Amino acid sequence: MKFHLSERERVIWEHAKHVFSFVFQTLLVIFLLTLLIKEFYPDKVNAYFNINWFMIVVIVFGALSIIFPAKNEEIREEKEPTWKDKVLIIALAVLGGIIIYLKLRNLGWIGIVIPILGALIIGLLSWLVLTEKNEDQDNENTLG
Amino acid sequence: MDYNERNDWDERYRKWKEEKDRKKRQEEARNDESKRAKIIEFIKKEEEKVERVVGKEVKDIEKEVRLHKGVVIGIGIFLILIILGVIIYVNYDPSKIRYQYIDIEVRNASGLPMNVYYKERSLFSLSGWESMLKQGNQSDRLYGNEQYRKIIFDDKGKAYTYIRLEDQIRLEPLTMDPGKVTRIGWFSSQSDVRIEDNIRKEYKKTSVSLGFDNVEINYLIPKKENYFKVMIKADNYTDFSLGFVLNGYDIYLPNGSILINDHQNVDLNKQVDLIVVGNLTENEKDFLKNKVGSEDKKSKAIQLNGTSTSFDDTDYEIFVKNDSAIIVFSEMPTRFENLFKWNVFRIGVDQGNNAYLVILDNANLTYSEDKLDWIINDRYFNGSANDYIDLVLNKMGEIE
Repeated sequence: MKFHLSERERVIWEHAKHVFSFVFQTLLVIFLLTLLIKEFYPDKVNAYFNINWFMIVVIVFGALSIIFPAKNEEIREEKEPTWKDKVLIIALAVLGGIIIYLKLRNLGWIGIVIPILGALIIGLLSWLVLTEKNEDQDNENTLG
Repeated sequence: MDYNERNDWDERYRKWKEEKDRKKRQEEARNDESKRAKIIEFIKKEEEKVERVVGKEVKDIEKEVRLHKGVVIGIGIFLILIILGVIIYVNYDPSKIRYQYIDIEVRNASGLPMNVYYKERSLFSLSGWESMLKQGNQSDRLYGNEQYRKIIFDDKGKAYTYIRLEDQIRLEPLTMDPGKVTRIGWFSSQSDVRIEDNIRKEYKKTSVSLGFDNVEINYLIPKKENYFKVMIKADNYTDFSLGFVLNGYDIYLPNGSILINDHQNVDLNKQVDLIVVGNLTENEKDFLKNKVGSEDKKSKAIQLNGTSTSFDDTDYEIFVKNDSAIIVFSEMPTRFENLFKWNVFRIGVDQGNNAYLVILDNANLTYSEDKLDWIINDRYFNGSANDYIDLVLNKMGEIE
């Protein structure tokens, strides 16, 4: 179904779509951080948050931002990973491994193996995301 | 006409014709150029027009993009704050936020349980039901309940009471007024209990008032310390024993001996026995037994085992389970009751004295034959138990 919007309404609607996207991304990050903190301080988090309610809100905004996607104005240039990117990946992998270890350290030797594998997976996935080629852009370049 | 004259005319005509065609072409070329110039001029004008219109639109779009970021981020942050605010407002429950390191949660419930938390973990429970208060010559539980007798009738209309015990249900002829309530404990009314928390910068005070006779249990919990004080207030009491429930703890005594917790909850692998007391025929007994509720009859018979000890004039007792330990003492040597059968323990608190509990964090205890005292090595202290007690008494004195 298409709605005929006036110029002003169109501008407002575009703004609303960007708001959905921004709110979803920010809430998702806060939600994931809350989940992480809850693993270590469950009582403190539970005193303030009902994580299920929070998840519902994130899902609602996630759905809105997918149903009504905002136009991407910025075209990101593809760059080769710099040493800063590599250091960030290593730091995130180590941090992830430490967090997994803190949760699983009571399991004995398996509590050491799983964090190491977890850190490797985090590092590998981050590297793949960073070095992933934009296929559309490649096609455009090939076709001239 | 001769041929020469004719040729001359032909030649002149041809030249005239050529000149005429040339002029015509020149004229046409001039016209084309003029048209082209006009077209070019028209295109230029149109281009200018398009440029004016498109440029305006481009400027408008650029303006919209600039507006977009500020508005989107502003509205987005506002929305996020509203969402988080609503979630926190709806779910905020201060009772889940524990005072550190020790917190005490008093619940106005049956038995007046007072749960002690250490670093957000429930460790043990002080109890109004297990505490004993003596006024004059009469001693009773501090906080009890009101019980009515359960009554059943035989086929002749005679009344019997039945009492549920650990391994049996006992049916007895009713010999007293069935409407008379059996009251256990000095206090039993939940509506009279007042619980107040008073949090200051350095400490938390929890006050439990039981309603009358100015009977109060007050807790003083210093901030970020591993000990607390229990103060008893009552008009003219002759004896008070603070009761607490500690499951599975051994007791280390000041003389170096250890009381091993021999509590046993034995499942007798059978249902509870139904015992009818009185001179009745078998048929009459069976009739009465059938009147007992099926849920009571189906319940399993258990047997609680465990030794009981009591000591007078003891400096302290240390309750130990793995690396968890609790020192319990008063200002003066006092009496202790240890009932492993129920995992219930009591410390006597005389008038003018208080009870103190120190929670040892990751404790290692060894007995020193030189000092005749337990040597404690935990997260916060390394030394003898008596030195630790002196330290705690001094620090608590400073807070007040």
